[in-house]
Amino acid sequence: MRGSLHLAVVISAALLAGCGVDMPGTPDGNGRVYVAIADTSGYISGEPGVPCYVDSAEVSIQSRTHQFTAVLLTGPDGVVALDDLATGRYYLFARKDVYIENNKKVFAGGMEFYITGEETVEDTVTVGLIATSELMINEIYYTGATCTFYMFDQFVELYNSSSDTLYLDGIILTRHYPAAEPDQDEVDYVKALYAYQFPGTPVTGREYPILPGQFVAIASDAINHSLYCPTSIDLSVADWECFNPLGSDYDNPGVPNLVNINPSRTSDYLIALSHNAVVIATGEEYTYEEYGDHGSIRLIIPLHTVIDGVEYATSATSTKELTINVDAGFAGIGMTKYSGQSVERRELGLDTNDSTFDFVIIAPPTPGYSHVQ
Amino acid sequence: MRSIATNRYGFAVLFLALSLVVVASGGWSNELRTSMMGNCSIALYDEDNQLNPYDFGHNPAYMLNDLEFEWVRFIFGLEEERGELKRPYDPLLVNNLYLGFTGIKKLSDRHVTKGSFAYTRLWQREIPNALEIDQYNDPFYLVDETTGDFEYYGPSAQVDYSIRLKPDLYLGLGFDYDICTGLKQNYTRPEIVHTYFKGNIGLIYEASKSWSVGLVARPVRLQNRTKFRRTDEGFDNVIYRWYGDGIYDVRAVSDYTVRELLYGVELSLQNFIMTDRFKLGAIMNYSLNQNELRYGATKRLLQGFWQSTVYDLDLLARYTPPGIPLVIGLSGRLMNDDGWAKRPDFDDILLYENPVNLISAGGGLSYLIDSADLLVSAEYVMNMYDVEAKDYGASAFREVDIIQNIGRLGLEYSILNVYAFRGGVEIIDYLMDRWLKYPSNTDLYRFTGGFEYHTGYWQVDLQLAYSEETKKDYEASRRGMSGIVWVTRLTR
Repeated sequence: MRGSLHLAVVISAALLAGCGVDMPGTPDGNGRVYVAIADTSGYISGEPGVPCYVDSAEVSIQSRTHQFTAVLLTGPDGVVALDDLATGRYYLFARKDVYIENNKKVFAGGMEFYITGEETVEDTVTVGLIATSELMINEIYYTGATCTFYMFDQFVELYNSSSDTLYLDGIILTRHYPAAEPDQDEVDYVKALYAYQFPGTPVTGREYPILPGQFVAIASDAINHSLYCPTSIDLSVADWECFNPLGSDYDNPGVPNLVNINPSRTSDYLIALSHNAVVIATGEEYTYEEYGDHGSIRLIIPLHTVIDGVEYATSATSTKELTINVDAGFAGIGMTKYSGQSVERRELGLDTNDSTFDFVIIAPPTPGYSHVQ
Repeated sequence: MRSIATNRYGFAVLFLALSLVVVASGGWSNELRTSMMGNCSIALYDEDNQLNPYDFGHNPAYMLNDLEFEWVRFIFGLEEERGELKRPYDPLLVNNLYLGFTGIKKLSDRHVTKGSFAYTRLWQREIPNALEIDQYNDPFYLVDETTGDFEYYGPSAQVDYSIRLKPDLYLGLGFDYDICTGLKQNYTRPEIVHTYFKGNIGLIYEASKSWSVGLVARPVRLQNRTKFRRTDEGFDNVIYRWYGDGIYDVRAVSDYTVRELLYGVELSLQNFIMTDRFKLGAIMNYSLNQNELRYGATKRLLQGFWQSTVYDLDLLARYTPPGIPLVIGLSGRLMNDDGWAKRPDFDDILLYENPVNLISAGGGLSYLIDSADLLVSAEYVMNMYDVEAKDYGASAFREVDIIQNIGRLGLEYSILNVYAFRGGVEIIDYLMDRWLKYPSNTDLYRFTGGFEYHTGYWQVDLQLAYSEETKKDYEASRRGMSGIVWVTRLTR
């Protein structure tokens, strides 16, 4: 009996020891990134077509799997190195401001990389002059005011960063379809849940100008919201208002309308308070697609008609829903519902197609102007 | 009899138990007398501290042999601990109030059962940011942005059963079950439902009159389910999920659930030599605990994994020389607890490593001064700890290799077997915390006093305890007070 008991415990212990999971052998937190920032344009220094390494370029590294951001400057050799990185997926963004004939030009470039364990990532990022759309989304206020459940004061602000007058005729403003799709970075379209359109003829229309340096605030409801929520804002002076004739939406007769073009939607233009995307497109081309079991319709908008798009999310580790071909990052990381905060471009006209770096969080919202003015 | 409070299932469960029974007072254990006498246990003879497989080995199979009387006991305890000398996420003040009863009954000559029930209110006050019932049970933790109070309510029950299968073979079965619900009183207002189950299956084989061999298996399941709900104001619940002290992410959501699930098992092989003058207990334990953390609103994704494997050899010997009322005791322990953690998204990468090694040796004496009806017990334990807390994700590495000294002194003055007055002091030089986050080189001083009154079938015990943790050249301290009352009715 004694022998049996001893044998039983030894066998059981051996079996239990087998149940345990083997401890991984590679320690976390020892990743290293070593990146050179190069320019081949010849504008920063050197000859066109010959890579030269960029001194004092601002390099931002952000994790896509956990909360981590570091901002570094390249040394004279154009290199940045960062040690002790935790395992995860990262995005590196490099930019350098250069004044060419007294005009500030922004050179930028980026790369995504994955670090595991003690791995060192070595690479070169070539920066180039950023070609940005001249009409862009400058500010989005989506969180709602610091009152109980008050989010009807949302607005989107457009900005003409060019030196020419542009036209808003026929442009559509959308709320992006809020779902990640596996092929979203491969397909040549984006999907819209809500879509509101400026009057006029897309592309060729000349009735609704936006002057160089002008802001255009588009309100969900162009009313003085501070009458209903003291901490909210006055949007009765907004330039435009979204109006949905299919529902019981309030229409301020003194403010012109963007009108709903999704026949299955009866609600006003409202966007999610934590994670969503806003896209503007020329409006020249789109189709309808039915989805679900209830006859719901979404818009399919060709990518080549997209003017600008911004995805926002509270967490840097959120799943991307808008293709990285329009926006590689997230605005508003860390911003929460009913905080009274909005996201606005860090600099007027800066558009690198990575909202993580293009946008900053501001409070209070600034409809019709910018916090950097 | 077996002790509920001193069961060991690896550090994770131990620390959780410590957080629930805040002041080491022994109130909800069966060892109030030894607790009153400074926690002396090596050489102090006590009905509840015998060197046998039930009291020392917690083997339920031996309960039949351990039983001397049937009794029913009512228990009331109030414990409080307060002070700034603590780890960052520990509560400033802990208040623990409990009521319960426990009893043991012999069903026949072959079997005996014991049951306990208690209802506890645990109030953890001014907790900075922490959102778990035990923030330090693994390297993963949740925090928010506020300091607040948690209030937990819930019952706990323990049942043990022992039966003699053959004249020399005993089987024991038992379980412990706790459930409590806690609510943080302010934003982010999470609700925590804590459930804990531990089975206890034991065998005892009496190989000879003086030699018993035992085997115990203890499966453990512990679950903490934390729910965050939409606030009345509609604000997001902003919570930070930490993976060690270097990696975190932020979640801002209305509804969110975190489930922490620990599965563990302990196997224990026990050898006991019990003669009239000499007793020796040797217990070899192996335990494995795995803790999984799942986060999510709809799908609960596995985000954290913690495992600890413990090998533990525990020895205790007592000798009573002939002719003098003296007990000499020696204790020893070898323990190796290898804990580590990973983020399952990165399965091959080690996030945290936390080996704890302990070599312990102790000795004690108990002497009865007949002429003065005074029992004196004194003991000394030397624990040599080698602990490493390697947080690879944070590139933070801590290590201590220290000797912990523990001294205990207990006195008992008896009058006519009716009254007994007891007092004791316990000093622990360097409190140990496996994460090495407790302020280093903190000492504990614990002073106890109490009395027992015995008449007929009734016995009343009262204990008052005061404890103070201090650190040299450090102004802050942590003080605890507790009061425990037992009313026991001997039924046979």
